[in-house]
Amino acid sequence: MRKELLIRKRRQLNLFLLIVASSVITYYALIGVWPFIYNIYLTFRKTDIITEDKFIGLSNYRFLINDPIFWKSLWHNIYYLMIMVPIGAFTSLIIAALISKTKGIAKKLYTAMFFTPVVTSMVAVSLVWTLLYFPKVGLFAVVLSKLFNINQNNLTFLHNPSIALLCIIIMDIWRDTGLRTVIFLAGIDEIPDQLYEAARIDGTSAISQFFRLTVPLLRPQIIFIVAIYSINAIRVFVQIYMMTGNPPGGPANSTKVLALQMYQEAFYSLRFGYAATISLVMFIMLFGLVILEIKSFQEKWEY
Amino acid sequence: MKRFKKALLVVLVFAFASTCFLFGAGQGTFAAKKVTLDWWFQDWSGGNAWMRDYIVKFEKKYPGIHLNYIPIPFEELNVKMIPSIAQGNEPPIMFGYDEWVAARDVSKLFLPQSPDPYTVDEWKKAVYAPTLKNVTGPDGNIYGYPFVTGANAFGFIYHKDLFREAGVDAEAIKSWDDLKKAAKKLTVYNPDGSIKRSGVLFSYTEAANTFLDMICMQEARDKLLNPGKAEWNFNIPEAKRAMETLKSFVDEKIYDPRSGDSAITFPNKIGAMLLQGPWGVGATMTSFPELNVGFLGMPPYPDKSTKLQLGSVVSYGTFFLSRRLTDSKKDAAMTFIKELVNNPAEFFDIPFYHKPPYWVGVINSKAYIAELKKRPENKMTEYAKTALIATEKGLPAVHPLDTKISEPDLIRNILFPQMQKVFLGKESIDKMLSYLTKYLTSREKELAR
Repeated sequence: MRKELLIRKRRQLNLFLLIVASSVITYYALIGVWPFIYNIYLTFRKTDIITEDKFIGLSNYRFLINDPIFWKSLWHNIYYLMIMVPIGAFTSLIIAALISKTKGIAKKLYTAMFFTPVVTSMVAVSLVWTLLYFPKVGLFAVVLSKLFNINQNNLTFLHNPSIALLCIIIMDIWRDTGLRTVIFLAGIDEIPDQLYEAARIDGTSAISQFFRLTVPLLRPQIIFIVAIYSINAIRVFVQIYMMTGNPPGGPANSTKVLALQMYQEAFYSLRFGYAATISLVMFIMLFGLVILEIKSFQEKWEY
Repeated sequence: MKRFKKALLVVLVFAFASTCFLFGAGQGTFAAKKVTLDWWFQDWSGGNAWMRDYIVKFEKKYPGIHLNYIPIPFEELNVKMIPSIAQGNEPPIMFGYDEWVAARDVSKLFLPQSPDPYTVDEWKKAVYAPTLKNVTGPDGNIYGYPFVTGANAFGFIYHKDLFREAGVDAEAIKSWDDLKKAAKKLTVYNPDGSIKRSGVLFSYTEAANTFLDMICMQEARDKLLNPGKAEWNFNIPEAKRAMETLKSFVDEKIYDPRSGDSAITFPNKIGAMLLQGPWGVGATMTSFPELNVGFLGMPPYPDKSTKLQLGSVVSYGTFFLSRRLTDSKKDAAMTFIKELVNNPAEFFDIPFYHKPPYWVGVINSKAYIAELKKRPENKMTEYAKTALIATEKGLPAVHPLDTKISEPDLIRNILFPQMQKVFLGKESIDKMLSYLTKYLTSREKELAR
């Protein structure tokens, strides 16, 4: 009798688990798996999703390989990643190390100060920075010309194709410094004080402590930040769309990235098939980065 | 029993309230039946004021129809319209530019506006024929009312006070040489010789349009695009000459391509004039009422003897209707279109007779233009006159290129970024022209497949 009751209860539990799991699986299939499969299907089609839809084989892939704008956009994403990730991680690490030396209210104040931009909308931040970067008469142009005796008329920032993307990267580094700093601060707090104590007794300088002790022991945080921000660099869109204006990705396509090209191909040009092909390339890149991230986290860390 | 009665009363009250809520008692069942039509329009200050003023007039005339005006920024409206139709959640009335649906089967997108409320012949009598090209379906029916001409390169808007200060007479500008001389006079330099205020500014859509127009004005239209073979050819002397003319404004230090977004720099007088359609007059003066802006027509190129051919890529501001409309909503939407066509002055007079004008541009309504021509001089405003001139000179000169590439793609995504490269000294004109030939041909062939 007791056994039967147990079996019945287990069956009920299994049924419950099945219902719970199936709802999650269905949800994931609908918003994750199905769009992905549909996206691959679209790459073989010429479609504007309403008036035209026909099979064109590998034409979208052929066009992609020969599309100079695609390669330029891809390069811009890689450039973004190469500049933003190491500089962003390094500056945040330095700031975190400096904040960790403070105590009490000062520590909280500094952390909050650096964290404020993180909670501000990217759209708002982008609009403000666009004005700061305004050519010749913007705040940055005026201040930099006074500080470094540069001709104000040459300071055109977002309107100079050689540095426009760099200007956006600088804004992006500034905006997320707080988040990276908080992650590093949490890591620094976990490092046992005895290690610093021992280093001090051995006569190690503060700089040496930072490079030989703090940095190696923050490896998990560094890997996490590098992985997450590399993914962000591949997906970057909002700041470029907002800051480069008429038409987005300018001047002269110097800030065009894959997500922006995908958006423009899909919604300006209604080439949903080609946009799907670009998004598949982005997926492959992001997938590679996620695999790297998972592999890095599989390693065990001990102090 | 008492409890039961109380419960019954509560249930009855709840049921009554639910019925009222579901069937919209406030607006429909008990009040006079009113049809509400959501209406998407481009969000710009002049347009908003104009349409809202018109709604007041319209609703007074048709109290049974409520127009729910929803302004949407240009970029969002552009990317929202077709996907919303695909999803089935488009509003009954949509404003858009005909170029967004160029070379597409409009019969699958919108409600036909012929034979009801007007036959195709009646439409051709009501509006200038070239404007109907992109809104005509494969079945020959009309699927939109193209009431105005949008982005175009018919001329330059300019600051009247800056012209006065520099002693430049806008009406004396008759050729590109005159234009360059005037622009040079209007340019202000820093002590180091760099440009402080450009004599002329190029906005992105219009600069690319002008480039194509200049090629066509040299009667090289057939050399530029062969629609039968889906081939573009910019490797022609006419294209080189057109680009050299535009580049000369940079080389001769009249236009600084790094001076910033013209939507900000022109109203802030970082440029004396701006290559833009007459619509820019109303747009600037509505957003910046303190400014006094005029419009001068684009001079013929390369000289006066050349046949004027404008509008290689032209967008007509169009009212489309949802193909899902039925019954009373369909009737109401058709009434809206009929009212615009039958009584054009009630609609088009609004922007020209407002101080400052909401909008100044090319009108596609033949009836309104005929009415303006008959109007006594003392009843015409400066802006109504400008619109009349721009329409009469501009519309007959419109001869769009027979390309399958849409305006946002051709002008914004492809042409202007390449022109910027030349302006900024990042690429030679020859290299740019070769690139455009190759890239646009590949795109045209892809679309023709």
